[in-house]
Amino acid sequence: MNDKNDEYIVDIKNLHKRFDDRIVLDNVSLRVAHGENVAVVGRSGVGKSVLLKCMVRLLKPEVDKMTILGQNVPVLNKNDLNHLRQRIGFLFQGGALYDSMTVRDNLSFPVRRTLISKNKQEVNRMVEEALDHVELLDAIDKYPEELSGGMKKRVGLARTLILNPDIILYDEPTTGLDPITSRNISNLILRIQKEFQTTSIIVTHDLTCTKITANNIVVLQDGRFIEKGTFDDMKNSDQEFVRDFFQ
Amino acid sequence: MVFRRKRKYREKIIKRSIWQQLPEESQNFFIETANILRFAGQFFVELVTPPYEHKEMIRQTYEIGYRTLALVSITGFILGLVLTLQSRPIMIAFGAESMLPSMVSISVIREVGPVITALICAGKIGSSIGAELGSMRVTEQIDAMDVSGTRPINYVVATRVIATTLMVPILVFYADALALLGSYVALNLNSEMTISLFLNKVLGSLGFMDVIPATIKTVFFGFAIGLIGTYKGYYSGRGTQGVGKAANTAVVTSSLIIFIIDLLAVQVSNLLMY
Ligand SMILES: Nc1ncnc2c1ncn2[C@@H]1O[C@H](COP(=O)(O)OP(=O)(O)OP(=O)(O)O)[C@@H](O)[C@H]1O
Ligand SMILES: [Mg+2]
Repeated sequence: MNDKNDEYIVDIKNLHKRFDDRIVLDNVSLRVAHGENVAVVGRSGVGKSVLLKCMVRLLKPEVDKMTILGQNVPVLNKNDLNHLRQRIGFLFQGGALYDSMTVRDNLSFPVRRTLISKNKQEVNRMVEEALDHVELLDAIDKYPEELSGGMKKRVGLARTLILNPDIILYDEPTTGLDPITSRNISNLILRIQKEFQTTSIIVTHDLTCTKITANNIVVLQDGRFIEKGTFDDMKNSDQEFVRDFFQ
Repeated sequence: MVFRRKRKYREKIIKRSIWQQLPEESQNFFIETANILRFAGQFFVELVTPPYEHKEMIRQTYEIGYRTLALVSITGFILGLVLTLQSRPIMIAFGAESMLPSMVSISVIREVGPVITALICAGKIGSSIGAELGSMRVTEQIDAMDVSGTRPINYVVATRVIATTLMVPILVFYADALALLGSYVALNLNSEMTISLFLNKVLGSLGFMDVIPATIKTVFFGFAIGLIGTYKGYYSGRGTQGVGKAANTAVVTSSLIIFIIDLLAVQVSNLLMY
């Protein structure tokens, strides 16, 4: 039984999350295999961000089973949870840049505080490389308040990528970007997956992004996944809502 | 098995009912106190866990000192000045005008200087820490630190609490000095007194037991201001309202705690002295 589960990087069974009396997620189950890109789509406010936050235990859900990278998330102690979190990249919907730090410090912060090698030149090289990926090298000494919304998003992405996580949770990586940047980011997500065999869960409304990046798509509605499959499956779904969404 | 479970159940009911008989405000008070204590525990754990962020800590200490310096200077000076002017007629009535410097210096060093300065720091530093951490919480910056495994309590909280614990006593010393200066100026408004005579009287009247407990007390004041400020900000509610509330309750709670510490300090030092 164990062997079989180990195939999945993420294995969630019957996740349930409510805020006071409001049930947001009701019986969500999700399995993601190694190296897979799964897109989670759904309308605004259905609980996509909440799902991602439950996975890293920023929120505490009721769940029958939730393993990530082989670790049983709900019962991890603080130390183990921190170690697991270092292997998970999390891109926040709003970027969540540290506004008292420059872009450079934003990126070097997680490196400096989690990796053992703290050679300054090495850290600088990593920062520049990560910024280069999102085409923002010239913003390196700026403060977040001097950046546009899209630039913040890309810096957030660079900060997520810099630790080379085994699994990345993207919360709307392309929302609010122009179509060209948006496509570039989608291609970057795809490239990361191919190059590093990273597993990703991508929460998005953006169909182009979904099409480019996702091997598998799940549709969240009314607290549960109502449809799973590939992009083409979605277009031919027998549920009207799903067909509408993917029109 | 069944029996044991039943008994446990019954105990639970009893426990719950005692708890529920308490009015909601006192329930909240106990919950809040427990949370603050737990937060303090986390702080001490992170304090001794590497990495140590010297640079950030020094930056915070400097910022706190720098931002409060002007305010503390003015209030300290006025404090000494007013205290002297107010006490003068009474002292004259008792024919004890020459005791004025001693009386003022003892009350400033022992009580008024530390408490007033700490209250000003609670207003100035506590609110800004509460608001800063609150907005970090609201914009998910603290969450971002949390999920990257970079331990925000170590970086954000510990550095600030250390900074206030170091800086508040220094600010109090400084305010005390300025209050004495103010007192000297006030004395010279009405009569002539050389600075050396004034200092002589002040130093002659101050004992070890006036200075040491007062200093120890200020260390606790600083700790409380930092701890409450960071606690309120760290667990701030959502939205702009949450930030405002964090700043506000940080000031109110730490001011209250300053008085409680002051009360405890006077009891303890009296116990030790007599
Ligand atoms: N901390 C919280 N406390 C109370 N309710 C919350 C909290 N976080 C989210 N919610 C509620 O949960 C629901 C889902 O929110 P969530 O942010 O997951 O939506 P979403 O699917 O990510 O939407 P969007 O696409 O707009 O980002 C919302 O109705 C929101 O009000
Ligand atoms: Mg969202």
